Amino acid sequence: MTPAPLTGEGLRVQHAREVTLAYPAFAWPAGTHLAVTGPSGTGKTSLLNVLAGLLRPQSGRVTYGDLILTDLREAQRDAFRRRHVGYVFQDFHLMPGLTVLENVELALRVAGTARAAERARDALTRLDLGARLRHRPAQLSTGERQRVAIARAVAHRPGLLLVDEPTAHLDRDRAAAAMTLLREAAGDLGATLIVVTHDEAMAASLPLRYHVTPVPA
Amino acid sequence: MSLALWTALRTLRHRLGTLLITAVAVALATATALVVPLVTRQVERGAQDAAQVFDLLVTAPGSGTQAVMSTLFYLDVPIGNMPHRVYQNLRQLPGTRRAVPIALGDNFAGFPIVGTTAAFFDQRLKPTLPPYFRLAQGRVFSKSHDAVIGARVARDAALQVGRTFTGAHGVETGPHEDDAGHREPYTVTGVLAPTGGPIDRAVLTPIDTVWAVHGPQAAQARAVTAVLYSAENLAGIYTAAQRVNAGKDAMAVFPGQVFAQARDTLMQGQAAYAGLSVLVLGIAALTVALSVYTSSLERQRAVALLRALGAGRGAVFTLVLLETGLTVTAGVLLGLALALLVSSVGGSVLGGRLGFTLAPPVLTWALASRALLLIPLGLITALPHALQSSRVSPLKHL
Repeated sequence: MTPAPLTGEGLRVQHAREVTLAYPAFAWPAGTHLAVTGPSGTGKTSLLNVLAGLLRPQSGRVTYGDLILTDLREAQRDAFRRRHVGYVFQDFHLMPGLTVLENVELALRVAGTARAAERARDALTRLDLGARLRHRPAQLSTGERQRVAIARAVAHRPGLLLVDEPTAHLDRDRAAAAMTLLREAAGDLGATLIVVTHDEAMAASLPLRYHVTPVPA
Repeated sequence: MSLALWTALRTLRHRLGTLLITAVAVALATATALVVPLVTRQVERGAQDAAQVFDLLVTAPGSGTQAVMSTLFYLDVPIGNMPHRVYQNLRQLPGTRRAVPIALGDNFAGFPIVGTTAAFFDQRLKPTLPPYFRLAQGRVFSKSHDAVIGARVARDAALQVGRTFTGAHGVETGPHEDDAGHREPYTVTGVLAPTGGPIDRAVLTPIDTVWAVHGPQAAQARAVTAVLYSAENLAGIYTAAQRVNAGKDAMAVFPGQVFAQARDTLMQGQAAYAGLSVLVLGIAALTVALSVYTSSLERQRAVALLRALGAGRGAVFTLVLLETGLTVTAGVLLGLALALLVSSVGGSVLGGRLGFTLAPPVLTWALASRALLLIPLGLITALPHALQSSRVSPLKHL
């Protein structure tokens, strides 16, 4: 999908029962690569979920190109997610009963992409997982599982790639490799890459940073 | 293939153990609910076919069921013999089409030796139809100790036209005190074509032979065990029945009527069984409900992931229903196949014991619908879980 600029203003998200977080306004051009940083509990993952259309903010406005995400109904947000968003979860969330190939194929089928199996195979092969297509996630190393999650997120060519703590389960070298992989994948797609991270080195490797500070609303 | 079906098939593959347990429970319930009705219908049809060739049966007074079972199906001990005059009177009744005497009392290797006349071979389902009993080989008996044997006798005893055999006293096998009088061998003159009925197990011989082998007294008395009676019209049959039943020497029964009474008794047992079947199907439905519940717990993360990837509520709703529907359908189909297999094998064993070949089991729509009812029942059970799964926020389980 064609990447689009992302903006947000007056965004407030209920984080816990009595805690509402306020986010600084942002305006990121299409294709931006940035890190979302900040202390724990400041709502970094919540921001990703809002951008993915998984979470409705209490107030504020988020736009993606011409789309006003915060105004969309649930079914429209589902459609937005399957067309425009690739999401790499912190715990990967691969389906244990599916093979590596099927995990990626599933995302493509959800997106309604033609020749899903073929495109899933291509995506996995590009990430050097061609020999692991028939394996189950439990048979893979952590790094391999993350690469499968990345393949699943990028296979349908989203304009917005959201990544939550990609280095949480990896050592420094593998974390750096994962980061390179993500930037290459986003670069290939021209997609906007938003990475939530605690890792200063990783954040520094990205050209932009959006720092979330605890601002109780 | 739709997303829901694609995902359902793969998640079922992952939960093959649960799927198999549920499907087997449904299959067993289905088979349990269907086997007895299937076999009962086979027996009904087999017995009906075997009995409908005879209009009126006249035997010594006693139980109508025993009369039918002993003289038409050769499955019980005959009530006793009647004086020869009963047969003579029936023959001479105006409007009589046929009166066929039957004398039982001996056997060959457990097969009943039936003394009768050549008129036996002239019996027909309808006057316009050809004779019901047809010879596959040889000819009808013509003299003493000639024998026409049923298809199963020929097969089991490896007899054919021209071969001889010796009878034994009594309607069942085993040594008897007066077997000495039965040493003169019978000669096979003909083999009947298979009918699937009790006649396949019979050895037919001239009635004089049966009287003769039981000694001079029997030969003089010329008693008969039964008479198979047929009149030119229905009124003639009823008149004959009334006349016979007015006397003390014999009783007349309509095989069809006796069969209908037996069927009624059978149906009472079936009603109790139908209640049991509902209970078993209820247990199967509970198993499905339990399976849906445990699957829904396992499914939570998968559903959340699907929603996070952008699958709509409808896809998730369909997925849950499809998983249940496929499991129950697999169980029901397996159960139908199992029911047909068991009733086919059981029917064949039972038919062997009853003495007639049972037709293959026929799965009617009415019977199949009992089992198929489990599919919508399973879907209804899954409905709340499908709704819940489609409504829950994906973030709750990720």
